[in-house]
Amino acid sequence: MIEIVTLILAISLAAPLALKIDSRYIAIVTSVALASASVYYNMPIGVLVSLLALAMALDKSMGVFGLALSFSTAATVLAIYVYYAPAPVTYALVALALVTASVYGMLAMGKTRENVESAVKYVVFSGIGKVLIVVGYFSTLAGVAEGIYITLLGFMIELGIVPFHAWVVDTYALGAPRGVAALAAFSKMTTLFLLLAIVRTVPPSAQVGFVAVVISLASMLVANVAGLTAKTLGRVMAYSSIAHMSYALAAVAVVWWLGDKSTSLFGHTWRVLDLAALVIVLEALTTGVAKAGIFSYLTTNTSDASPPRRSVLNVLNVFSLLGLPPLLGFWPKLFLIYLLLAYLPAPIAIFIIAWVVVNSALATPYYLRTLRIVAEAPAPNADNITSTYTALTSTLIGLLIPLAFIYLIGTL
Amino acid sequence: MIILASILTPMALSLVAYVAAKRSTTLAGFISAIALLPILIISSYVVLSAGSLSEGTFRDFEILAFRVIPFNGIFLLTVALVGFFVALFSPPYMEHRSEELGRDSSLFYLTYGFFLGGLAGSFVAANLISVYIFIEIALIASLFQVLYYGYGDRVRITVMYLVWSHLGAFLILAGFLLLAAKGVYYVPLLVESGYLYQDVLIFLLILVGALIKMATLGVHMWLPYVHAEAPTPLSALLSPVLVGVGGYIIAAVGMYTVPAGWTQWLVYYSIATAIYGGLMAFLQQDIKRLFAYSTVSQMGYMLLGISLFNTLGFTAAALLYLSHGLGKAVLFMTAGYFITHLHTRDVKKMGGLYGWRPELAGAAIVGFLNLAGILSVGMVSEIVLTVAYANHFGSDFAWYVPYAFMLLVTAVYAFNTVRIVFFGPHKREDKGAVDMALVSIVATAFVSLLFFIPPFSTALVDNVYRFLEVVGPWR
Amino acid sequence: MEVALAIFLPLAASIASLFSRSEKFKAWSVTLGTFLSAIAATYLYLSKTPGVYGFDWIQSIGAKVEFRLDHFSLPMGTLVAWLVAAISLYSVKYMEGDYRPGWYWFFFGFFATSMMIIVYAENLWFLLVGWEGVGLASWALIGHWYRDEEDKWVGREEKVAGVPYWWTPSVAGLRAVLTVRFGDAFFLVAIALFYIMLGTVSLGEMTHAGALKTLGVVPLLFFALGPFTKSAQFPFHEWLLTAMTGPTSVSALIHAATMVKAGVYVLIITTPIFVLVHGSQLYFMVVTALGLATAITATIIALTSMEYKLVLAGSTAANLGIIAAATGAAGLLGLHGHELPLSLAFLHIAGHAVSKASLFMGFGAVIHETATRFIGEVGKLWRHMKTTGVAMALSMLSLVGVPPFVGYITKELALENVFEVGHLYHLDLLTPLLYLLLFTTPIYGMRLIGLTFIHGGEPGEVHEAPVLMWIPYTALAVATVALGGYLAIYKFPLTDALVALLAGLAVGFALYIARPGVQSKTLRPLWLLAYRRFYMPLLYDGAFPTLYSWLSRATRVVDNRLFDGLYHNAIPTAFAVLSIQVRKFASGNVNVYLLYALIGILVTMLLLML
Repeated sequence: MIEIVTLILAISLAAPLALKIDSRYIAIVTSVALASASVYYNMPIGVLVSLLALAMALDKSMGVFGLALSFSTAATVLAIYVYYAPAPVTYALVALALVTASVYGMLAMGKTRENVESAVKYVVFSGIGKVLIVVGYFSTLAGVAEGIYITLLGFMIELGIVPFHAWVVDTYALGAPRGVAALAAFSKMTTLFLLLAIVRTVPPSAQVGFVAVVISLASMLVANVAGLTAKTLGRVMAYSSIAHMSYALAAVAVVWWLGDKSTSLFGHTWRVLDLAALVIVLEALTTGVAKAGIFSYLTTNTSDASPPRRSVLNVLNVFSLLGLPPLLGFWPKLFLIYLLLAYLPAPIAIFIIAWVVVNSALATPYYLRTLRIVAEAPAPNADNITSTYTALTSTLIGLLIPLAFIYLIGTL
Repeated sequence: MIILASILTPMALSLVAYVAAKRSTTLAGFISAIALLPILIISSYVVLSAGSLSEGTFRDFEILAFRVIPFNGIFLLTVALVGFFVALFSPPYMEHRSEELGRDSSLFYLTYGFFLGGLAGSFVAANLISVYIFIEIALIASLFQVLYYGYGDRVRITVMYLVWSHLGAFLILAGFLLLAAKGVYYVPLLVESGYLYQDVLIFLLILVGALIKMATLGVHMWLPYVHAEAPTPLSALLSPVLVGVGGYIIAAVGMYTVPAGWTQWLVYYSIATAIYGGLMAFLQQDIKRLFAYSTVSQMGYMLLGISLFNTLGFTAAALLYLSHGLGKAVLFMTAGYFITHLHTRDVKKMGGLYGWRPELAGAAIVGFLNLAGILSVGMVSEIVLTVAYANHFGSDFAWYVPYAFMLLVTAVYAFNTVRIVFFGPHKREDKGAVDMALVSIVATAFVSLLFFIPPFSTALVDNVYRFLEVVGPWR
Repeated sequence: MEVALAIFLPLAASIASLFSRSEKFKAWSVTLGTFLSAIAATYLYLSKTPGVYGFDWIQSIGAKVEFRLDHFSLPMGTLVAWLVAAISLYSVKYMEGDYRPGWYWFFFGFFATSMMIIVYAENLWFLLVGWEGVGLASWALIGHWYRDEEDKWVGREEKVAGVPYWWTPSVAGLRAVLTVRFGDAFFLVAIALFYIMLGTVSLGEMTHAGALKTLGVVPLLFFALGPFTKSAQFPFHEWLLTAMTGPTSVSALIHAATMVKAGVYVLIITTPIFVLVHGSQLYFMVVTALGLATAITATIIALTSMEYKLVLAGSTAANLGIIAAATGAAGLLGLHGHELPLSLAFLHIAGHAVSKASLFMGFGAVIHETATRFIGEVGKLWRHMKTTGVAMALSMLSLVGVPPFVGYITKELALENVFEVGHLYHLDLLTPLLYLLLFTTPIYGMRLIGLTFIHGGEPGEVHEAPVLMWIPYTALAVATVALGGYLAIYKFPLTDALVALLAGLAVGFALYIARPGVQSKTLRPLWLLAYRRFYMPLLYDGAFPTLYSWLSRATRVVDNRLFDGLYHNAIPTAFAVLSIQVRKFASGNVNVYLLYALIGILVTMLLLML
């Protein structure tokens, strides 16, 4: 804990350096430091995130925005730490504020009108969301019954759940691609880990759970339907992001609504809430890693433009988003369905499973379009360190998960 | 490790084929064919000698557990045989297609091994989850082939294929997971567990998922598009080999939870599918679509065997997979030969082609004989199916009329197509080329005739039958 | 195993023939194979070791490769093998220079083996192999001239009620195979039912199966559909008439002497089993009735047809009908405690085969020489083809059943069964019907001979057939006399029926040989009815295909509109429209976004209050 906070302070102090040297070196140093800290604290997710930042920093100079990258990485690792340590939730709130500020900067990186518009929309809505989260969280702690509902609202806005989603589309489409990469990877991940930390500390509320279930189910449908005719990479990915956030929210919402219980998975007994947490973590990782890979290889001003070069490795990322086994994106969906199976034979569980399955199938056409946009752009290949790293992560983690389960069963 | 190694061999060698394809398509085809020999050896050993091979302890949740018994051995044998001959068939076709597309065939051979390895794996994997994963491997590999070497609106077709097959796969997976939740981790038929328990939900999930894969009546619509537009060597594998996976899953998993009284409805439904597919095939003008609808019809036969729910019925289903596999492979390869040398798929432009290449006509006729169940391994499966049907319906004689009509419908499109394509006045004066493609078409047809002759047909039927008597779900 | 040699030598030869491009090699290797097979069959016949030999094929369905050597199979095998050999020899010359020798010779040997399997098979599954084999060979050889040249057709290019009344070889083949396939489907089902109900499908074991009595009559009727279609019994006789598109040697072998006999042969060998089934009276009645109906219909068709081969084909169907009727009658008699008079029906197979094979080969030579298939276009061939003329006259007299030829004796004996049944069941109409049949038969025989050899148009350049061709049919023609004499020693029937026959012969002689050209305007509608083959083709080429294609079209409408339309049109379009609407939410205007957020908050609050 103290190491990470110290590191953040150190980055702040090193800020003037950025005026002298390319600040990506700061980002490189920071991410290596964060990676070591994550190893030290035994946080594999932290390591993955830090290495992602390292890859992004290694790829291309980003002027002073390297500093923003450092901050956002540190904030994400902090949020991860808060969840795993566990540490007071307040730190995660701080991390969210920090990541918002830095991602705001990165979105506007290109300094064009579109970039700035994107960044402003992000900061406005994310700001509202943040305020609601903070207010809601503290009023819950103070015993206000509606506090948890307000927190949920905050998260819906922050994550871009329908009908609070419109800003996501604009931000993805108009922001500087590497800023969008940071948004998808760091901002969303921080938010989701904050959500997990809050879920652990506040008492569950079936009523709020019900609201969240309804909204998240509607949200995934709207997002997937809208994605069907979305044309540009940025917009398709925006809808994909909304859909993935909806899956994640649905996991915890269902548990709140229907109540926690224990279930058996591969011969091991789980709390359903833990399974929901697993879904959220894996979902955060899937969408963050894959989208970071896809956006980081773009050299255009915005992701609304068609990519000038092709990328082969990002095909794996797209497939991961689609949820093809054994890639990473397959597993959160699998565990989401498995989580729902615990509530059988309740008809509602079957309904939600069917809903999720139909939604996954519905998404296929637009992911395939993404695939073509990415893979059929003009030669030569423009794969870089980030796309290599993300594709590798999407594949290897996907392969490791079943092995981890085999290991788990073996140790029982 | 033998089973696992034999499944991984085609996948590993596909990388070699990928490199080879950059230089010589023929070499890549040979490598892809040779890579299937281990599977061929294992499966023919099991099927012909009534052996059984197991790997793994089958305790807890073991992902790498495999078992080959004659029942799934037949499926495996079909995969290996058809894959072997199609690989040998593919070089001339892929050269032609590569020229048309301006793209080398390396990606085809890279995915070829994964496709067949995945298919083979899905038949021998004992763990339900690994069955699913192997199916997915096969699906993704074939997806790339359609996307890169298909015809028409390739992307639309690929999306269609992806959506439908994943809808099916997801439902199957959901069913498997429900089973796993109740502590069933392995394919019941392979671990000889006996009938599990009646469960409407699990059965429906697996059934509907598998039926989408099999493309039976009502959920068949994707198949004519995909199989017609896929590159033809792939069609030769998709049509007979991949769609049958659905049948295998219903037989080996789904029927272990079938609720009482449901099999009767499945029987009616499968006859309807067989007749429907046959009627549709009769009118098609695109030869690949014709064969695709014929696949729908044949899947009706296979499903009929399964839904009769007796030892002979299951035996017939396995045999139908083999006979349809060989027969349809011959036919799709014939279509590929037409595409390579005649540059058409339109039945109307054919006619009198017997004189163009008599060997091809002979082989294609054998292919149709397999479908119509005349004097080829197809006849063995038809006989076994009929006995199973008689066993089921006994003296309810009215039910034999739709059955006979089903056989007649198949004969109608089979012989009518032969007439339209190969007979009639000559339209061409030249001769069809003699190449590797022709040789493998004839060889495949020959194998399907060979399997009809006693030592082979005896082993095929009786070995499967004896095993199923012991391990079947109706005990 | 001499029996295996007798059966499989022709197939071995025809497989060998595939490996050479030389037409001569193909022809002679298959001919050699068939001759060796004939010798083996004769050896079997002479050494007479009755019994059942074989081994298991597929235990789980009771299939065995079993050969039955008994008083039916041994003479039948010898007869078939020698006919095959003779016609094979004839084909060497007849098919010389044909454009598809590989196909012809392969299927020739293949056919011989399949036919021999039927003859010797003890197990019904094994029999089915031969059964499907002959069906396939028949299809292949009917459509042998696959290029559909006009001189290979049956019928003239004209339409009746919108239905084409001519048949190309490829269409005729399709017609044949589908008719036969229809019967085979039920045949197959019946055998499967036998196995399920009796536990065996070996003929010998079936006789002793306990459940045989309670089998019921429906499986028997299913079973009979196989022989009915294969032996071209009414109403399935149409395919046999158009099967005349095949080479004449094929018509002689498959569609006269052997394959079509397989059906009635199977009826005969199963009769001793089926009489044991309770309620089988219905089955035998159906067989008898259909046999008679076929005999009469086909005789009338033969009487009016304008093509050489069609006359012969009609006559074939008629004789098959007589054999079937005799078999059914034998069964009926058996049910009433008589000893089964099956050999009477069986003999006529031989009697008819010998004369009909000879006739087909002879008229094949005629068609070959005159280059027309229509009666009357070329005539007066007597002067140019003396040997053929004599041979044809002899064979024809035997065919129409004039004493002392073999045809007379066997047909009389066969009909004796039917007469007997008429007495037994007090069917008063049966006797006049049979007299009518006997009366009509010689008329078409005289007509064909008269209009070909004695009267008709002046031929152009016509020669006697080559030696290799006339030897087989002349030999068979002589055999009709010899066999007739041989049989007459044992039994020479003398009944009132002879009167009807001789009257017919006299009328035929008067009309077509002594005073040809007599025509009647008033009879013309009747003539047309018969010439149009009772308008049955309207059913087979009009109604059935139309219905079938309507059914297919209806299915296609369902497929296109319902399934394709729903899955690949309606649903995607709906989603696309919906998608475009939904995307309009992201209009870029922040104020509107805030409005959405407010609406969202309201909705969630409402939900919260639920």
